[in-house]
Amino acid sequence: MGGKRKKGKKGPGERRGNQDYWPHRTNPKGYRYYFHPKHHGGGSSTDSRWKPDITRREEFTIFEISVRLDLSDDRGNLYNVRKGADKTVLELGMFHEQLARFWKPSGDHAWHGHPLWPVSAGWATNRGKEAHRPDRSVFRKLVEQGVLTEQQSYRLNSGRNI
Amino acid sequence: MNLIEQGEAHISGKLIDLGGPVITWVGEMPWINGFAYGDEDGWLRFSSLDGPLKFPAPFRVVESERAINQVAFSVIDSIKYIGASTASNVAIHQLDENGVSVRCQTFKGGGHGIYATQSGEFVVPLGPGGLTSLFPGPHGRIIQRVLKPGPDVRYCYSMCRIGYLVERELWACAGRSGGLMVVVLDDRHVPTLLRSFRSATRPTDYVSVYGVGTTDHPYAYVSLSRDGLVDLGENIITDKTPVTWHFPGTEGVAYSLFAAEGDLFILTSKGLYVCFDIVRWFLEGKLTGGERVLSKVRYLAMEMIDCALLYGRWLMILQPDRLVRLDVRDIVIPGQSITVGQSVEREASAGVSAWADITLETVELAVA
Repeated sequence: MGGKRKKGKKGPGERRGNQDYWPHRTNPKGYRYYFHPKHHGGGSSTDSRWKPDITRREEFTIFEISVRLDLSDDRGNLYNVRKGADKTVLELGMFHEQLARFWKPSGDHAWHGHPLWPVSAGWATNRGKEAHRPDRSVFRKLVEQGVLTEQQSYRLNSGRNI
Repeated sequence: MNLIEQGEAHISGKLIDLGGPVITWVGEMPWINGFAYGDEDGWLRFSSLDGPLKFPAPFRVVESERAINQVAFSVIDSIKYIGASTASNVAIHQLDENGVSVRCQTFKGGGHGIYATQSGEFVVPLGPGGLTSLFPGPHGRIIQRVLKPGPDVRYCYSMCRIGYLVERELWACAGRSGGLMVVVLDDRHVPTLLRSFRSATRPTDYVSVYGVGTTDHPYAYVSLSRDGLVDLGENIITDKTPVTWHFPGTEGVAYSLFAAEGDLFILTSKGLYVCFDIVRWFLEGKLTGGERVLSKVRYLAMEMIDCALLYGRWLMILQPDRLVRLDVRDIVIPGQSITVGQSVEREASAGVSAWADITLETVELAVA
């Protein structure tokens, strides 16, 4: 379980290499984006991981579109999906995740994101109750913005594949 | 295989309007010989086969930010239990003799569904978390056992009861890219992996599995992968080379399948395909692979949240804005389609449960 940060430990912005940041900021809003190693194979077996075939450019684009369409929950975290050429919703993560979540950082830190489990994992996370999100308002936004059909949103919301 | 023939037909059904939140699951309610409906707000409602019911009363079966994906019913020592699953959590209710919930235990962690075994426990596929059994034990305490993820249990998505194997209940589990799994539950309610397998020649993302056992082939099964390929196997415990069948006209992402009376029903993101006789032919040894078969497929073009065949007769179709009940006998007998026209009429005013007649257009296809 995540606890308070130990005194003297470096913050996330201080220990990251520049190569882990996307070189450009989002348009609009000018957010920086960080490719968190934890979600690219450097974490534990319970950390969700982006599929290896998703390039950094594609990951950033998924994030930037979520910023542009304001696909946010009530805490400001952002969400999005990945579409194929035929408009089908593609998988994002190693465990068939089809929804990405981008955590709202504190202050001026960079954003980072990860594929979201189709079902909430039973194990403890350092995000507390937030781990069980998104709530229904996010799915509603995804439909309103034309990202998902209503049928897809209800299936995804209930933990079914789309 | 090629599409060689195409025609159109119409079938009649009922439009069910329960009012309130969107229905996200429908199933059999064994205690009243009717239907049960789970919705996006976590409520469970009931109806008879033909209309609304005032009793049992609706109740909120699970508190969740996600919609109900499945509900299961169980009876142990004359005590009734209801289990409900969402993508966030799972709840088990113990009911009193009036059908009122007297005890509820909620488990953190979501399930892709929930199933009641014949010995009374609930089994829940937990996705990357493996599989869990929940057994209501003495004094209302739920005993939980977990089949943990590992090299042979990578993901647990959907399940189906196959039968018995030496007094132990045998279940199949579609494990997405992890393959198909065969799980047994012993008398201590411990789920144990008997076998895990997947195609050696092609990557397959298994999303659904269904038991089609007969006296001659008690462990026969049919499975569906996300790309629409159907595998048919005579024995899920021993098979190494299932027959793969593919209707080339299938469009959309494959969601689930089930079988009845030798016919196969495939739900995709675009609609429902009813493939006549495929399972029957397979079980009769007439579908062995490597040959061309002529079969008929009826296609119902409707985007569905889900659909289910209940009591072997009622095909229940869930859509975001409506729920449709069709009589499967009107679908599986080509040419029996009766009503012509596409009008939809409602019988009751808003807010009141309504069962209205509906006519749907289907496309009948023949492939070889």
